[in-house]
Amino acid sequence: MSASAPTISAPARVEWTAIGTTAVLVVCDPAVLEPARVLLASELDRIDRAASSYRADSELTALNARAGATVSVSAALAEAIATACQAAAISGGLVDPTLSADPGWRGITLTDWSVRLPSGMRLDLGASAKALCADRAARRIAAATGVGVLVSLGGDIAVAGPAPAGGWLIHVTDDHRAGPEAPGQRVTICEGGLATSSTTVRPGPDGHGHHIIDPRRGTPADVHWRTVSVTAATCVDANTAATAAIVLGPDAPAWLAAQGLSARLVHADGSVATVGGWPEGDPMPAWKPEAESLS
Amino acid sequence: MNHAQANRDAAFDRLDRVNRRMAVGSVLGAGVLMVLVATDAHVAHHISTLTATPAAQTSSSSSDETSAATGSDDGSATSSESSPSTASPAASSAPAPAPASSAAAPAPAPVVSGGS
Repeated sequence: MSASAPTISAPARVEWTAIGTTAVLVVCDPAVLEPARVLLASELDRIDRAASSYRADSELTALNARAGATVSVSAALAEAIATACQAAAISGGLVDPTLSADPGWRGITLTDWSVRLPSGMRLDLGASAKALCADRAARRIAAATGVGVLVSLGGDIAVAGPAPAGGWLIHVTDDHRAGPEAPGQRVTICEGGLATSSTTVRPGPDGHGHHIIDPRRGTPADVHWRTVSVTAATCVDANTAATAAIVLGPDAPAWLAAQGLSARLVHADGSVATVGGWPEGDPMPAWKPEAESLS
Repeated sequence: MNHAQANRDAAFDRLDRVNRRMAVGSVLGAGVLMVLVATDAHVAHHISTLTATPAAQTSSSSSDETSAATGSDDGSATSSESSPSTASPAASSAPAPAPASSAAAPAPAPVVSGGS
């Protein structure tokens, strides 16, 4: 028997549809792909049962139907609401789960494991809950397996554990459903999260405009930036900042810089601005699947 | 039992243990957050603020977009509520570095981040 050279594992990837969007899971060691997939699936199920606005049987649907009453909630929904309120507080109300500034998130009463919404208020936890799920899943998978992991939920990305050589390669573009050849930019991150908000992907509630609401007036935000990508310590923070930047419009670069965040903002006309050390878009050879040649 | 199967089994075992710990941790974490949020908006600067992380390192652009640095600071509506604890990351337009060690996994295919 002869000794063999250490094996360099190619990252393994699986992708499926969940919570109304695309879930992508990448792990640095294929041996842990299945347990990692099981864990991500359990996190997706957890957040979907608790915080989905689209499920008639979700806890959030029941909570919204009982606005005005004090309702006991699960740890999952409590965490999702607390995260959304934190995002609202940090963004100065630019990202608000009530989609309204009056009374806005400050009208939510959180006491121990119960929640009370003012009469008539409805919560939409979609964006922050998705990012929270990505953060939780990435952390748990990395802790459980000791392997580097990337979780993307609808293009909102969280990474944890040891990153692959050179970092996690991410292609930022307008629509997460586009391929890596779509117009955009390739960047790498080694930790934290990266999220993108765009006005180009989903129409507004009435079928017109886009879906990012300016809570200050309750209507879709003006389209100064069509797409904003942000990196931060967590996917929740990145998601919050990207959405807040869309709402802020021309004031977004200064606000992002004040937060110390790195961001890429695509103007409505396609021109690109960068903030906080986001790399310039110097040409680079097209990505090639090196992993295949090493496996 | 082959090596891959053994790895999977071991990972599932660790997963069970971490799940139990995380269940407790998430409850405690949410509780702390709720206490903070419930007190009022004035706690905003006591809650962890948006935190920067060393970020994008390499880049390529295949589009007709043009890049321009931006960084004016006119003060923002929320600047008093946020004070990031980490400096902004350094920019680099250098190509992705070669694998640093033979034990490191090769870089995977790019994952797309876009609006949803």
